[in-house]
Amino acid sequence: MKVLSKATQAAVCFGCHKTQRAQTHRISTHPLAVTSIGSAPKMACSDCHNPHGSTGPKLLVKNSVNETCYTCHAEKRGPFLWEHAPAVDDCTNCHTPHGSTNMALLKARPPWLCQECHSGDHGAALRSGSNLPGGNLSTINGLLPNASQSPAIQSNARFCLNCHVLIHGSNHPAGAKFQR
Amino acid sequence: MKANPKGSTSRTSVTAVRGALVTLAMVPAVGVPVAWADDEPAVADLTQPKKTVELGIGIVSKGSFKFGEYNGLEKKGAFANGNFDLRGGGTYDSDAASRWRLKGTDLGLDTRNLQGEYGEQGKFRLNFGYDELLRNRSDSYQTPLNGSGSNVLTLPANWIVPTVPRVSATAPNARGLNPAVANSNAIVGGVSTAPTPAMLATSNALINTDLPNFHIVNLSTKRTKYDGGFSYSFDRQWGFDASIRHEHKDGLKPMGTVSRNPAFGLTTPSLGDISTIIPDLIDQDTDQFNASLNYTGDKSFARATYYGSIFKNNVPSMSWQNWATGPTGSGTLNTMSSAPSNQFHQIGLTGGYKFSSTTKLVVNGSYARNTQDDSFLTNNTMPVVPVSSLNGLVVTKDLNAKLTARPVKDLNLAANFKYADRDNRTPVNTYQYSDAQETPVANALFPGVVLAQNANANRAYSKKIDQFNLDADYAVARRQWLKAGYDFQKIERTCNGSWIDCADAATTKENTLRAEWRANLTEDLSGRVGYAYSQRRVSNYNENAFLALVPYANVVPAGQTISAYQALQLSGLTGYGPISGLNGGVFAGTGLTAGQAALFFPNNNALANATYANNNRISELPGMRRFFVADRNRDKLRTSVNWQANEQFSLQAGLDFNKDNFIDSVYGLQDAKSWALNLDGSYSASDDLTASMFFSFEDQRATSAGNSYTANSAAVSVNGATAISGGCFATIALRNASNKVDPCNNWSTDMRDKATTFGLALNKKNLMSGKLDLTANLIFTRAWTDNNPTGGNYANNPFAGIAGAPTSAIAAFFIPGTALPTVTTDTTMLRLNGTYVIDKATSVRLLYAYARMKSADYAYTSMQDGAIAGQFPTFETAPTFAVHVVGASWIHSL
Repeated sequence: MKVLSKATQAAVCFGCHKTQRAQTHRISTHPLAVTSIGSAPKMACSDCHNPHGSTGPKLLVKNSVNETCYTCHAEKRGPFLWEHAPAVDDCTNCHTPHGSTNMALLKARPPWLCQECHSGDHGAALRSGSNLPGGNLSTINGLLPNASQSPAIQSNARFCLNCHVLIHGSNHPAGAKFQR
Repeated sequence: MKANPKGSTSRTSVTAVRGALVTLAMVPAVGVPVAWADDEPAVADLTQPKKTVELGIGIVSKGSFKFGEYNGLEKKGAFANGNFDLRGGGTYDSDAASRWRLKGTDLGLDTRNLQGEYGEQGKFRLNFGYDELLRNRSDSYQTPLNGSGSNVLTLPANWIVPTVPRVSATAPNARGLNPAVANSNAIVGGVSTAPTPAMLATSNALINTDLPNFHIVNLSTKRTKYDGGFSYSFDRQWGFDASIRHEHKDGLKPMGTVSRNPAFGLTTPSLGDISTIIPDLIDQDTDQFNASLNYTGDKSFARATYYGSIFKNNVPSMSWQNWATGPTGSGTLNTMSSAPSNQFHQIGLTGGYKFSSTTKLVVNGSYARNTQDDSFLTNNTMPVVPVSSLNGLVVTKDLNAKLTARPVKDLNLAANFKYADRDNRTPVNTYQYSDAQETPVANALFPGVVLAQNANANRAYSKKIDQFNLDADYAVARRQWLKAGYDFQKIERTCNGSWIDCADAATTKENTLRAEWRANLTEDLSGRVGYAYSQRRVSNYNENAFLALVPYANVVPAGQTISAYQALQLSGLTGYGPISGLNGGVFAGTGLTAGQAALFFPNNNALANATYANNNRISELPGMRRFFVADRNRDKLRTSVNWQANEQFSLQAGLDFNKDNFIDSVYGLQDAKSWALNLDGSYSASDDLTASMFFSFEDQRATSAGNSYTANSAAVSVNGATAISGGCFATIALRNASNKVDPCNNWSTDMRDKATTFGLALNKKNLMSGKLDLTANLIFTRAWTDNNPTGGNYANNPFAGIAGAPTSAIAAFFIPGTALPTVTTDTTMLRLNGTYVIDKATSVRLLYAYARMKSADYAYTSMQDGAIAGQFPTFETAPTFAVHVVGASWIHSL
């Protein structure tokens, strides 16, 4: 009976899948954990997985990772005019669905996640701690004043997604760079 | 009277249930009084459908969006809540098969859920549901834009474009919103210069006008779902199921947007894009349908299915005014598209046949069409829109077959085949446009044909998977099993309609060998060790694939004799450029004349953007391999041990290890490793007192590599200074000559995520003569994210060439990469629960919860005013909270 209830199902699954249990308590996660007042989580493992067998990978309820994700995120299904190859390929290229220390369930922190595939234009630059807001430029000759200089926008706030926000795809004729 | 053929079966099962329940009731449990062992009402309790109602109140000590992210408790103050679970119909030990259930949870919160069902066991079932899920996203977001909740956001009429007058009297600069920055010295011509009184007056005027316009907008989205289902059994073999779900999602979420900084002009490419995070309006509906016709025979089964998903976006676009042009500036209104409405319809057929008691085959096939034809948005930055909508179509075909057999005792075999084809049949066209709000400018290399900075063709990605798996599981000895497997997967990626192959890796093949040993070493000790090794290989990584985006790479530019693509073919180079650089205009051995080689940027030797009619460089570094299609060796290790020390105490331990090595990637992701340790223990002092704990530690680490080369100018000095301090070349001129092969520009990052999670649960039952049950749950998580780069890049010296200024003889510094601040999150969640039984029908529940989060993330620093010139502040802060919740509820069984 435990697996039929959202309140208790995860406890059964986590009996074996302990790393996933821990991941549900990260800062970025789907609503998979029992709430602070003891209410059932809004999602159950069986929303995405069918433990008895499936045609998809990882016992997912649909034929593929993306088809499974689109059951709740149909706005990312497209097809878009401008498709982003890794997003069409497999959502888990960039996301880890059980929980992450990075925003939006990302596998790694931008901009470095993006730089795993993009090395040209402003994807070429090293984004390091040498030029952050409120700091100074650290050179081998010491610090240079940064008062009138601005850190790179790609390393801060929402990182590359400050501008390239429609990263799952854009349907705007001027959206090839996922900015429109 | 006609005999009911099901009657005897029903009565047999009813008798069995009755017998089991009576037996259960009579078995004295350890530590529990046996006074009710023959108490008939206890049996009745177990056989009667129950009805319970819970009504409660509570109070939250402090409002926090993060604490209330998914639980509906984001606001400070009192709340009322209620749950009920009402069941009716025939008792479980009766012949009556009709039953119903109505269940509601969290009825007082924005996470409420209502479920109902009615059915006759073995005949039919009707169900419905209602569900709300509020996701809170920010309670500290601020914006001066008016109109939140609509899809047009406007600046207040008195908005003054922020500047830092000491730096520039006219250039918009978001840092000017911060008094400390706006009124501080700035380096002007290499000299640290204080603002004049007039500049200070200008700064203060704009700050005093603009900052009061910022106001908090709570960002949250809410999903409201309605669902219904019906299932019917025609007879023992045939049945039908159908369900429908409607979901409405609305609210606001933060979204980055790009606008144009007019200080750079509207026609200058590649400069001046600025960002504004806006409250994006969400108003969407998704309808999903499922239907299946099912057949179940003695040896076979079959199922025909339909799944439909229709997504409708009620917000076609989002528009906002540009803070850098002001409410009345030219071209101030920017517009971007929203996710397009789309549909997905899939039919499927599944069948299975049992050849014998040990051999079974299951086959599944499906066909789906995914369409999208929303009208395109257009504006004055798009001189050519070839079609008015996409007419997008993706056809998906899947075939799966699985054969399982047990040819001899102790040996289980399984073979699985999978074919999946995502065939994107969307028409391909070339779209001409300019980047964010730029005025279109014709490309001189393609006069009269390319009318804007970009001429891009869409790429309709298709993917085909062929995969098979073989598994054998054999009992090698008493209580020991060995499992071995082999997987093969081939993936082909193509684009319909592209002028050149669009796939970085047209074909990847991956072979995997797996083995697992598991054993019950004693009655109390069991364990398993599993290992898998995979090799993925790419037949030919295509460094020209990106050219599919830019069809003008295949058109001869004005003044040239060959196209950019022909130049690549002649030279043997790829679109990523040469490995060693084409130094100083020496093109010997490349097959190019000097004129043809002009298609390449001098020195950095990337294919020039203009030659393929694109505003930005879209090529990569030679040797860059995108990780999801790159050559890869993968190791996976899984181990676990379970030890039942005695009836009271048990321990479990598991250690997992993963390693991906991208063996052919000069740039991009190099490797990714992770390991996780999990420990679990449970202790049952008695049936009334149990305790369990767990500890998990996970360490994920990845290394990525790049090169911070830039496009060169012809300049050999910075304000007359020529020397470079640090770096691999002594002067600007020498560096420029070898920019792309400057080893000092090589960098790598060591990215690391670590997380520790500890959990403890205590349960104590039957206190106060069996009237009080207590539970306590504690979860603590600590997470760290580190990033340690090596390598670096160059920065011009702001004091270069200025007499008397420090380090004035130095033109540029080499800036070594330094570690990013550690991003940390500590989370504590404590929940105490007590249930006191007043009488057989009534109990009360008391709840105390404490939740605390403390996070530090430098990303939020740059959301403050004064941080970044081109990033508009939102004043958001990293989630930090400490919240107490106290609640009490009354529970009554009807």
